[in-house]
Amino acid sequence: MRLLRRLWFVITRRQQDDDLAAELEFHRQMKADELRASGQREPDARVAAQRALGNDVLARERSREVWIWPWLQDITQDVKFGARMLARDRRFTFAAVIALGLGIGINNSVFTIMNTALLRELPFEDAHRLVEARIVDARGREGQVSYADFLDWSASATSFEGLMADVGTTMNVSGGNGSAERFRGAYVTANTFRLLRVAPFLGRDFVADDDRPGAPAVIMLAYDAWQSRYGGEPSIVGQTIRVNSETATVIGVMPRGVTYPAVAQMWRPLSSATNLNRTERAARTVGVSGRLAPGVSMARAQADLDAIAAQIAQAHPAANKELRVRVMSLHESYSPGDVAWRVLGTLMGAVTFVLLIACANVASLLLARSTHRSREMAIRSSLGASRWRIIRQLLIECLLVSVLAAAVGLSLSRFLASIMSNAFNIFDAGAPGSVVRPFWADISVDTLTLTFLGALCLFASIAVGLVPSWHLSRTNANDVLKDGGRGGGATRRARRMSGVLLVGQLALTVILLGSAGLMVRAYVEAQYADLVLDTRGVVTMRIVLPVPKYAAVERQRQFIAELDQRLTAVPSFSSATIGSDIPLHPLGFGGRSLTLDGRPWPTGEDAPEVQFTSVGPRYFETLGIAVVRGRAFTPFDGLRGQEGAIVNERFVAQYFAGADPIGQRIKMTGPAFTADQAPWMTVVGVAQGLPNFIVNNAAGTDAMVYLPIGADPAPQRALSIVVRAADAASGKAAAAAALRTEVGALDPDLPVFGIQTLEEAVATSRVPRRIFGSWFLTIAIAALILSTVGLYALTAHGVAQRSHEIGVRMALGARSQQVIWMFVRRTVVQLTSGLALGLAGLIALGRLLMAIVRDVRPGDPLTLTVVTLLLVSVALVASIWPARRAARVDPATVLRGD
Amino acid sequence: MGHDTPDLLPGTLDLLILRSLRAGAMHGYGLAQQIRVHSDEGLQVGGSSLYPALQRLLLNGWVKAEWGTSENNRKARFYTLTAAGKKRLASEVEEFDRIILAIHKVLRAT
Repeated sequence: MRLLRRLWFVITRRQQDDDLAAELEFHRQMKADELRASGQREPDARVAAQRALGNDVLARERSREVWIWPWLQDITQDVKFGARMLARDRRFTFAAVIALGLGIGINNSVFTIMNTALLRELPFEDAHRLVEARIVDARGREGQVSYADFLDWSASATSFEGLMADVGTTMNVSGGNGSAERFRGAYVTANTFRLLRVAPFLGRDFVADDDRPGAPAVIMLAYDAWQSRYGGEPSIVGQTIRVNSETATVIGVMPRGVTYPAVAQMWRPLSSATNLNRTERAARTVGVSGRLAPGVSMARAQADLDAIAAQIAQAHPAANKELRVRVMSLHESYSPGDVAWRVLGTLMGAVTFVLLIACANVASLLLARSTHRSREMAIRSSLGASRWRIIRQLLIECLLVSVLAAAVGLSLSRFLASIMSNAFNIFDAGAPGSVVRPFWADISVDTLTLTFLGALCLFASIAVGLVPSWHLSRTNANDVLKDGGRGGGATRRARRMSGVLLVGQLALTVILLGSAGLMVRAYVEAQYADLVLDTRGVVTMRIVLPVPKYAAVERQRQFIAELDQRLTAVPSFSSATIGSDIPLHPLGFGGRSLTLDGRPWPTGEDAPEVQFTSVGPRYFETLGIAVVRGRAFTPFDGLRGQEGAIVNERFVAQYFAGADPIGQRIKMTGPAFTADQAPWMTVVGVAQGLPNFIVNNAAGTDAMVYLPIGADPAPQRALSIVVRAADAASGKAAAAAALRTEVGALDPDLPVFGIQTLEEAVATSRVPRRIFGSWFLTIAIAALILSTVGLYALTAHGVAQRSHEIGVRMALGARSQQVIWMFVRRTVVQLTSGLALGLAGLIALGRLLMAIVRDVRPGDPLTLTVVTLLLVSVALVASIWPARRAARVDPATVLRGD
Repeated sequence: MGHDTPDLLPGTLDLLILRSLRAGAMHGYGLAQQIRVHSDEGLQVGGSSLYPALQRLLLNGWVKAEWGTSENNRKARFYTLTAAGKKRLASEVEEFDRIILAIHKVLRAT
């Protein structure tokens, strides 16, 4: 109630003031009447009445204070005054708003991206109630769940509204319009979409009957697949399509943007999953998620599943002993992981530097301005304004500037964020170290971003106001009034503080310039490095041999052999080969553990990992990789008992210390097969090592073992085909067409995808470096501009301020060079300190940079030298320029116009 | 015609005003007069205490104000007790008596 009355008072402020004034006047008159009645004469009566009434002003102030919190009143006053001062000093305000706006805007854009990629909640209704459950083994590695376990969980768990399971798969769609096409899809339980609370906008959702074994085959389409393959025709619902060599009826189409679990474009019921092992507890191939029941906490769900898992472990110790369950929010399970955090974190750090530089700039401006206003401040303080009051006034001005800057920054950030997010799209193509963006991510401003903006604003105003306030608090009003704000302690201190700020700015600029330079260097090196491979006219593509047709290893080998024969027969190919992996292809099957024959060797966990590629004949020849020792593969190297392997130069360096490895035996083991199934392979050749950025370093090592497909105990069903066109200019389309014909002749249901020339793959692999390089370069240039402008402004201001002193010196005989040197000397000192700090910081942060772009060398002398020279030259120009004006000062005029 | 009586707690002044208004509506000057007269010149309330106190009473809803005409035909603002104000008066008087008694006891204690 009181609050409302207060509000009313504030609204009718004017009226209230008038009322009170009238009341006081009335009181005064009545008193005067009384005094006159008791004999006082006229003028005295009035005066006496006034005295009796007391202090008018006090009465009004106190009355007002009853209604309006006095601090609020003060602050309103400060804000109004601050706004007036800012409007008057337009140049300062403009410069400050632009500088801060730049800093805030850049920060906000990086945060927007961070928010979208990492922080934002999933776009499902009540998304925070969605969870994923994973199995955790004794070593803490997380993985998927077995179907048998999932059934038990579904049956016994009480904390969930429902549990859903999914298995990712390839869906090869053929027939109908167009050739075979490969889609990513998923087998899901019938309750999946209901639990997610999304419904198809055409047709119907899955029902429990669809998920029975033996039920008629049905399939659900995603929006994009429906558009691209079926032209957005609603009539597709109810028709049958051929998928994975089976016929299925389309029952519905999901709305745009739904591609759960990750990139699925088609869904079929889990019961139709042909390769799913439903009974073996050790076959952990199913992803399990669910929605928590209303009112149930994640902790309770965790306990629930823990208990069930414990029971299962007891009943099936062979498979499930020592396995635990981990329940996490679905959001967490989608987190793109370390790489994204590192990249965005580093970017965030870089733009924070820019913000700090901008704040330092504005703070310097404020310090300069404060020496102009020092007189005003001194008068205020001598009139009774407390130090705190003056500082508060200053901080409020800073806040006003920040708010204006934030408005500028917001528009800038939306623009910048959309540019940067387009860059991230490229990563979806799967370059090494890519940031996987969730399918629903789109850049937009939400409450979190705005809150961050507000925080930035606050931070900026405090950062800006801190130094000037400190300066103010040390200023003695007396001194200022005495020397007229022209020189003396306060001004000198202000200049010193500005100098310190400038050193800080320079240091940060050095760090940013250096980082940018290192990134650019890495990019340039990658750009002009010797590729080793001959990429002209080479086209690559991929196929995936699906189960159940190719479940048997023999069937796979047969297909590969037949395809190889056909490819060699094609006249337009000068050479062709097949392999599990090719350079520049982001497949990344990881590594296998290595054992060398005839030496003591760490086993088990400690066995070293190497990368491996299983290759068909003519692999090295087609790609142009030289075999520097020994020989390439012959058909016999794949035969049982005679397995041969080729290692690369790095392998030799690492494990044979440069000695000749030919004839030595090695063995590789992996998770998909047992040690006895792994054959001992004899090294028959050494291949050239490939440059760093070409090799997909998923195993974290450069040592590579090539083995014939025939010798691979667990061959990959995902293969790459590489062809070298006889006519290098013939182009991708021709090669693709020829390949499709050959593959289609062997298996018409098998699509060929991912068609790329090797040159294109090289270009794509360079993209992250190029993008980071350009971002950092832009950020660094922004920092450089800010610092330079700050330096220029500082020097110019110093010249203007010390013109009196300059006049005296020149009148006493100083030459112009000496005067100029007076100013430049300070700059040189500041530069030196800034450079020292900055270079030290750069080296310290070098490790961080290496985390995002591998080939960066922090201590690189060339880059450091260039950065130093650049900064020194720019800074010197920025300070000599205004200093020259000092030399043109006419002593007579200055001394006279005191 | 002296200056403000010092040390008069804001709460006490509010109490005096409320009490004075019990008899009927009054304007500011009238209130000051009344308090002076009833206290035999003991309490002189100046403008800078009286009017803030009145505002406080308005804020809390214990009085309400209206413009009217004074006895000598001047425009004046008249204050009246509200129902809440009456209740407040009663409780405050009780409280005040209690405190004064307590203070007395302390002062007279041997």
